[in-house]
Amino acid sequence: MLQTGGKLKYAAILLVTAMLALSACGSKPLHTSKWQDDGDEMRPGPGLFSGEDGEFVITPE
Amino acid sequence: MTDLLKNKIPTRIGRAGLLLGAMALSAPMLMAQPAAADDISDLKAENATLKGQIESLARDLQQLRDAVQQNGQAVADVKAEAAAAGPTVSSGEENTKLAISGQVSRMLFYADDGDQTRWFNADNDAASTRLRFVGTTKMDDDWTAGATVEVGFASNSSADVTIDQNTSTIASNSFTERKLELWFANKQLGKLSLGQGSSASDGTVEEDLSGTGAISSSGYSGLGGSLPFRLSGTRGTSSGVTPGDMFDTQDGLSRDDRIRYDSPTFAGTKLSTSWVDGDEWDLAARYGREFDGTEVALAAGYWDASPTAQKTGFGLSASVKASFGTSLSASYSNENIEAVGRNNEEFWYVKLGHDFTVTDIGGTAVSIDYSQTKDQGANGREGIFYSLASAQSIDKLGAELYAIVGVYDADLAGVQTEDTTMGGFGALVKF
Repeated sequence: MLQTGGKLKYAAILLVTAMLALSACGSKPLHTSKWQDDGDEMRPGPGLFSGEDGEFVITPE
Repeated sequence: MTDLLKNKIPTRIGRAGLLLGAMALSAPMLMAQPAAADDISDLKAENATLKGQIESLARDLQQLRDAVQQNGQAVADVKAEAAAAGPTVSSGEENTKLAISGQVSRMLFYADDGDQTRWFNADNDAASTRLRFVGTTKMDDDWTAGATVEVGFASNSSADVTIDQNTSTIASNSFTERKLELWFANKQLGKLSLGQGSSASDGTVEEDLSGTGAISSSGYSGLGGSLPFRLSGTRGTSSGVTPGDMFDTQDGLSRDDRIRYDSPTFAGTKLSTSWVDGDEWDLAARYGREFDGTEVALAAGYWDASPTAQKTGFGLSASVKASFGTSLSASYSNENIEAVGRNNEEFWYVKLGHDFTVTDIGGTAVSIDYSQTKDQGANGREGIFYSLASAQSIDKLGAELYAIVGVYDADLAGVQTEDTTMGGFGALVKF
């Protein structure tokens, strides 16, 4: 009989499989900041001084 | 004859008198005629001169008007050009940019350890104050390279404060590394990152679509993490155990010096792996898609820190948010401690959230969560944490106002401890 940890490892594999299965269904991309970033990352959005993009961008002339 | 002479002579004398009188009267006028002609001539000359001067002044005035109009147009053109192009600095390289961003996150933090209470002016550890520079260059249609420097500066961090401290915790009053990395990305091949940064498994137990992440992370946000639990009935004797000792979310290998590879995103799925200094390594898979307005975020990770921390672990998390704003998030993680006789350490949490719009200043989010730990730090320990949190966005200011109240409940072997209640409110401003 599997220990709790073993069951959960299989659950993890099942979760990955579910991800791939869900990918085959009709859906739209989710903004990367909602699912790829660490929990305490700075979120995209406007800034008090930098405006809509939330960052000062320096570009070549 | 005599009569004739008598009659004509006086008449002629009278006429001569009249003539003489007239001549006398008209003499000055006749004599003045040449002088008046000169004056008229002078006046005409002066008039001509004045007319010339006026015409000259009119031309000058018109020239000035034209110059002012041209200058005004030039200023308007420069302003329009500046507005269109934005502030620019020459870098000498095309297809490059440097983005500077950051945030300040301060709060009034309250703690009650069952013996004493105290308010702190603290930095919010759930979303700390920081500064970030990201340089990016596009090498061609497929390849991009860049560098990231991100540092935190959490003065009197809410994770470090203690009831007995006299001043701000000096150790936290300095820059701390978050990301110092180089990276190369290809649309077909993926992304390779080198340096200090998130490992592949970092964040795999933190999927959270609730919208209250500014103050409430996935189960444990570090708030009050250094407040020792007090032994019950002892007037404040410390147990020697803090929330930070027994409420770890076990978030993989966190941030460290590593080399990391991320696959391209395929149908919402991304695979990652990293090798961390000290011969640690990890694997992770993430998934994010939206189905008819319902957002789904899933993640799973496995990590091996045997060479350094003598443990391996895995974690998974999921968050689903319905189109009407209600979200449900959950995670589980488990670490196998290699020390003899040590039980596996466990953590799990569940969070119910809802975001909605009540004003036009920005979105509102509320959440309630519950988390539990087992055997963290030592066998026989169990911890419970629950909290209620809210966040209010102010879009025009790039700010979020937030508030939280939560309770830590520790169950330590052989002793009875007081619950620690914490809470507070504050603001996060992106600049």
